[in-house]
Amino acid sequence: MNKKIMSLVLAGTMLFTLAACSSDEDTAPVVLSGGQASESAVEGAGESAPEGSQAASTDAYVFVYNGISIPMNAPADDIIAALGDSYSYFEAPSCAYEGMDKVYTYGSIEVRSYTREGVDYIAAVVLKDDTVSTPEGIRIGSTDEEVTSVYGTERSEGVAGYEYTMGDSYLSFVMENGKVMAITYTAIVAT
Amino acid sequence: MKKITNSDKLVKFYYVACVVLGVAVAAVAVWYLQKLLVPKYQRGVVEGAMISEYYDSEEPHEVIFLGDCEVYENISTVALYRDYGISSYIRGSAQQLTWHSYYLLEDTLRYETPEVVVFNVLALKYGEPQSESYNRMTLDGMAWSLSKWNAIEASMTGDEHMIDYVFPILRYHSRWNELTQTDFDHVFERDRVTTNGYYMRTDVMPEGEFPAPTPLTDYTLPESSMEYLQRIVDLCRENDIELILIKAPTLYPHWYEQWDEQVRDFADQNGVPYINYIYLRDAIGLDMSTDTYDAGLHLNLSGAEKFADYIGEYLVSHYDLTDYRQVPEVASLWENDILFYDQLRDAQNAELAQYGELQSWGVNAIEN
Repeated sequence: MNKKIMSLVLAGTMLFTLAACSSDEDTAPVVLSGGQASESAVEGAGESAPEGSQAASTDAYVFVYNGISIPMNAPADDIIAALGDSYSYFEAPSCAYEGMDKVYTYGSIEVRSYTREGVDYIAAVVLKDDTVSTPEGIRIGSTDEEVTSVYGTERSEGVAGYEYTMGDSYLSFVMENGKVMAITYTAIVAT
Repeated sequence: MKKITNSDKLVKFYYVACVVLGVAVAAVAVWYLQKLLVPKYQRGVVEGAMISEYYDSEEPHEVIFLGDCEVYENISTVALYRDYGISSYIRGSAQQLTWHSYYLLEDTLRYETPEVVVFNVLALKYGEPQSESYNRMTLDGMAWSLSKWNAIEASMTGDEHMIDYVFPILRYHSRWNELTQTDFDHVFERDRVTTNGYYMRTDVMPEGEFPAPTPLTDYTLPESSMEYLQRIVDLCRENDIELILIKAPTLYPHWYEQWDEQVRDFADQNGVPYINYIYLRDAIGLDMSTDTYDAGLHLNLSGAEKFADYIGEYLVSHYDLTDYRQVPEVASLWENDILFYDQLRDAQNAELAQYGELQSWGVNAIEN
């Protein structure tokens, strides 16, 4: 009898333990799978990609602007600081304040970030004109052949262009009349 | 053979009673802890409380809106009633995906059959589950049914499990050290956060300039969301419900012209109207210097009443809807809704007058 009562007490204790045990993963409604960047823009960048990364050892695309490397899914603050103050800024909170999409526009590029657990990460880089190019030399106005020659044919082909995937990021070229009309680097942010 | 004495029977009874009592106490404790630990969505982020409020609404609803913030923040259900006598409900929640809307329509049909369903198309751009937190805000509030089960199955992201929806304590047990007074105050009772699904904001922040839309390599709307749209069409048809597809008049996130064409083609093929209100902002009378509270992402009360007026005119001129202002038993229920609506408006305006911004609603009210 006493054993049974003791069992109930233990069950209650287990219940309390269940309620009391703490896990950061459990408190975080959104689990990310951000990729670790292949190189850092500034010291520390890329060292703390969002938790839950499934591809922490893989590379991600890196765009370089005025000597500043901008890896996808890298922490954004130091990169934005390094890019300087000459930008226009737009921000849009997600529904129910689940995050904040931020857009920094610097002359020829647009850098977008997303927020997870109070930290901003690089979400995308959009090349806006032909004064900038990918590190491999492709820019708006480059030909279909030049894109294929540089990046190859291992890609997904959409109705209006190509997407090349590297780690948790992809690089897309929107084509028009055989020429590049838009270039975007995008971080793949898993849910 | 040992004879069973009265004393033995008493011991056995005592033993069984203790076990039953212990199990009952444990079950009540688990039930209470679960009620305590689940998020209440009562301050700041209230979107998670919206879906369950529908079950408390007593009046019949001839118009049901389905969608995300582009419906629950942009259309005043009270303006629809006040101006046209339309009794409506917005079954909307944060980033409500197309399959969420489909299963919420199934769920709604368990209680009533509306004359008209209005579906906002922005969510069609999402072909996959997006986030657990948004799933939770939509799904936790649904009453249990096969529709809810299927909605969860369709919505779960990679790390989610059905068991966590069946027993939310498994998901939220670690909130024990995040509990606020709000959690303790609302274990059993929730405050109302919407007026028939409409989330009110009276503050004003003029629309700004949005970033240029990023060109895409493929504008094809995802197959999965279009399939669920087809299921919405079919479900409405089976239940003799008129369906209207709309795109709310807000400009961000960007709604690509290529998406618009696909929805227009789909609507034509299925014989349902599609109205893109982005092109009708002037006709609606929107002044986005005063009719939005967050720089153009959503409408405020002023904008939502204008938009409701415009939609209401379309609804009463195209469909045979009841003027519930002339139905006393329904009108009296709506009077309660209007009272809540007016009091909420006055409370928000009072805070704006006192602080210059809202303190008890929106981002300033988030507790954790």
